[in-house]
Amino acid sequence: MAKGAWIKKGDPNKSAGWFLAELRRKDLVKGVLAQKEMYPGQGAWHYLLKEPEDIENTKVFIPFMGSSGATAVSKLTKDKPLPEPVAVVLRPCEVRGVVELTKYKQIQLDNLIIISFDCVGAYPRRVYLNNPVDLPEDEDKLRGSCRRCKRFTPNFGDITLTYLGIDEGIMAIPISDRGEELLKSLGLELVDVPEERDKKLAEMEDKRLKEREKEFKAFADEYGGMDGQLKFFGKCINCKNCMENCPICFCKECFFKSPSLTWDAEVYMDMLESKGAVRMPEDPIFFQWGRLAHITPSCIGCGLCTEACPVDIKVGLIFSYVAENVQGAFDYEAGRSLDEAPILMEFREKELEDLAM
Amino acid sequence: MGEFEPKIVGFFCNWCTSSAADLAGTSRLQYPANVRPIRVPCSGTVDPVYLLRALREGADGVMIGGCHPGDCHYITGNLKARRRVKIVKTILESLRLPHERVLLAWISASEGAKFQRVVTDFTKRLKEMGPSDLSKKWK
Repeated sequence: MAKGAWIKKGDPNKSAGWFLAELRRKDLVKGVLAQKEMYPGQGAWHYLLKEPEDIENTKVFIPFMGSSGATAVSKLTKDKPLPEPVAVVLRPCEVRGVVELTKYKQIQLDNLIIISFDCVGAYPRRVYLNNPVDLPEDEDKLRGSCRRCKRFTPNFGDITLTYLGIDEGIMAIPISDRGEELLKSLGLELVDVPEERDKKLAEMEDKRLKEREKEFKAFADEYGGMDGQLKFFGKCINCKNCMENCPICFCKECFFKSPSLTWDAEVYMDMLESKGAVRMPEDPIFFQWGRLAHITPSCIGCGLCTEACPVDIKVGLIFSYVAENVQGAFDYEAGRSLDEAPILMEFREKELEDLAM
Repeated sequence: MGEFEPKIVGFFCNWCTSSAADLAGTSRLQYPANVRPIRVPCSGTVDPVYLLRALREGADGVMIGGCHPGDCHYITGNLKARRRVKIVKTILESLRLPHERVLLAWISASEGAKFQRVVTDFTKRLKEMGPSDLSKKWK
């Protein structure tokens, strides 16, 4: 049975804030990366903090996901590993992002203490900003990516925080030896985690898997086939915001920003002559399919692409749906384990033998 | 209008399929002229976006010709190509689009006859499928 430590310092966010601040006060970490609402009404963004008073007011469980914590961690550690311990608080999808980016050598894990939590989900940015709340209490308001999320509990990292099935405060559950040591260094005693949590998690999983299946099927029915695709992406303005906000899209030089996709006047006239119509800005379907080919092998389903879309295309829906099939075809799951090589980093002579003629 | 002639964009490895195409030619093996060959250094250099772009720009079929597994000049390039083709096919299949328009074939430099057979079969199959709608734009 899972063991965890009680932290009862008020509501879940306050208890988590106290716990993180305590890590800093005891000098077990030199900094904490967590979501904090610096300006009320502007959303909670990731901050790297050192003062315990600041850390105490972070909001771990806030239903707002502005940017990816995985990207933040990559910025922190890509070039050089952290010289001293820093605790980073991440949603489970962001932890999956960290796992993927580590495999792509965009993150170095040394001195990184990963604290995650049982994540109920986040509201769409606009919904949150219109009516800021501290906890995701209304499941119907959650982002599509959260409603169909099947991995809302971290499987990698050091400590999982949870308030599910718990009446007061939170529980900190160590999921690594280092996590257990940290809790002991804080003088916290490990006891059995209430069974209510498991019950709650099982309930959530059941609901979400059903939602997932339903949404994927509805998507394929409505937007499958070429006419469906034209309908789905017809609004796309080629702003590439989905790409900019994607934690997995890390390349510095991108094919879609390269001169390969710009032509001179003569080429445009040729295209006009042979095709009769040329969309400007250029064909978004090619951009989106190309990105599907590049990203779905490691898509973690965080849904930030949907959040980033200014014309409300459910980019995250098509990506999660296709990713499930692509990853399934190689028995791979993005973020599942550090030991599994990403789909395009491992090649076997004996596989897919029926594919080629 | 005559019979529908599909356009095929072929990405052929420099070390095998390109030579096989030459061999087919010098051996006077007839094959349909529907394929537009592009010589690439290795099948592993063909990024999925090239396949998708060809399909979007009006190709009725795309094909990658590479060395048999184990024979790659760069050890594993063809295995990369195979995984990439699987990814592209899975994407098309998920979106209920005809993944049969993407073909992967292992054709070594000595297999001029196989080259002829594969290209003939693929052209025939594409003729049966009719013109591709994957290049459909907003009009």
